[in-house]
Amino acid sequence: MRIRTIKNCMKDGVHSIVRNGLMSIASIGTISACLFILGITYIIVMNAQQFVQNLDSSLGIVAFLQPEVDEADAIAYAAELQARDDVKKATYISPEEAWNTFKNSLQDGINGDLLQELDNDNPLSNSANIEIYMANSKAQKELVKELQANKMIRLVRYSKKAADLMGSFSRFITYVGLALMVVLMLIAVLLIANTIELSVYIRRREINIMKYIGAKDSFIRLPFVVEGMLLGFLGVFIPSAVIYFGYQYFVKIATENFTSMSYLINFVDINTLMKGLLPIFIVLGVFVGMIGSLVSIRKHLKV
Amino acid sequence: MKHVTKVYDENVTGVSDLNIKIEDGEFVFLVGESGSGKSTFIKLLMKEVDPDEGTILIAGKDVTHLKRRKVAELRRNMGVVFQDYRLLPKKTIYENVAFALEAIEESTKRMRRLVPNALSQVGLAHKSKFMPDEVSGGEQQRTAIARAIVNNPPLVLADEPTGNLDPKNSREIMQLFEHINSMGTTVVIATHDQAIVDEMRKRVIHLEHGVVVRDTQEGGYSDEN
Repeated sequence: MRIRTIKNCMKDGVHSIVRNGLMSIASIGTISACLFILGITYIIVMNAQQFVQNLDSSLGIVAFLQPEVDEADAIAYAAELQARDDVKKATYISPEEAWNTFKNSLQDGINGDLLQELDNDNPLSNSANIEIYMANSKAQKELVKELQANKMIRLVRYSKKAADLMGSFSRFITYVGLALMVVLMLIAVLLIANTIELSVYIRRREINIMKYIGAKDSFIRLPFVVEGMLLGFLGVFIPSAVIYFGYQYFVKIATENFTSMSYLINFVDINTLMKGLLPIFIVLGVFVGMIGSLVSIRKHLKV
Repeated sequence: MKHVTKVYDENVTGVSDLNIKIEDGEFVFLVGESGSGKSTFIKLLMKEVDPDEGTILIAGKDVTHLKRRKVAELRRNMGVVFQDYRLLPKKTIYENVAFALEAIEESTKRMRRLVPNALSQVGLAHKSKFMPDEVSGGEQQRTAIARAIVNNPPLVLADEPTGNLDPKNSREIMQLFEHINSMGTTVVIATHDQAIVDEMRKRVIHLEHGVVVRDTQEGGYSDEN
């Protein structure tokens, strides 16, 4: 294709957007609205995932060691576990440490002398263990199996239900988000197709003549595809700006006014969000515009 | 065309078992009443419709079932003129003719040479900057003819090109087609214009209900002429 042709097609695409005035604005508005809802969904999904991840890392497994296991071996095994990708932290807890922690948690209510008595005869002498915190709750089941199969381990305690719940909650949010995104994109495609349909209608005579004088379909299609893609691209700006400023404002308000919530939820940083969201917006906006125009021009090319 | 039949939906016959050979450089009139199959004949040649049966050869090539991409190639080798001119109202006379070359991605250099040449052939060089609605019907049809011949196609098809014109303009348009034909271009014209067909004495193919009822060299519009 000649450079002049591409230049002309670009010009035609821009002209059409201006000529279709209100209809173009409606299309840009629709894409904006769809992308905005999509953006909100994305933010909810990302924050939910982060929330689940945070909770994941507080899910612990306690693997009690056999009494005959050597402390050095236990420390080495803990280090081995720590090195795994799905493990956030693995620490060896000796019976003394276990007893001290337990004692500290009781000290307020129980006679100190009694506790001191027990120091010499540690009631938790059999509770040397490795405390493991997961980086990913989905991997917990697998790790528990491994631990249970290990001869050094006497007993494994973990929260199965919590891990399962987290996993399914995260999956649920992601699936709902994805479904919502697909529906919104379909709506956007239909609306863009409508706008391009109008452009095609206005230029149907031109298309008809082009067909009769032997223009290739790609040549006829290009200005409309450019128009659709431009509409999509323009539709990216508004939701991006609204989300960029709106989210920061929301996070500020939420952290200021609901301090108790800020302990629970650690909001994803806006820049991280925008880094993921902007490419999705641009690709989807442009892609939706392109598909919309291809859909609407298809039937006019059969002459 | 060999045994070409085209039946539209609801059993409306366009043409039936046509066997016609048109030689290179011929001038042919297709005559007949409305619905006789003249336009279907032109549409079959332009590949706007496909035949249900039979074979169509153009310049020795079988074009009966062409892919869409190939149809574009075929049409680059033919000029088409319609009754309603089909000009773009927002483009000048020059731009309308140049548009035919733009659409087939011809170079600007060739365009600058070919467009004025086509316009002077149809006698419109002096009106190249006019808009279509600023010139007469005859001049609009001349513009359409200039657009059809700008690429020097070996075949020109016209469907009722004088249908919207008065007798004087019609005669001038036909003279133009005769001139184009004299340069070696094959011309096929579907028309109702009895006076002109009678006057020009060219090959006449008469269609009725999609069937050829008469094919005469130097013929008139009807048997009596």
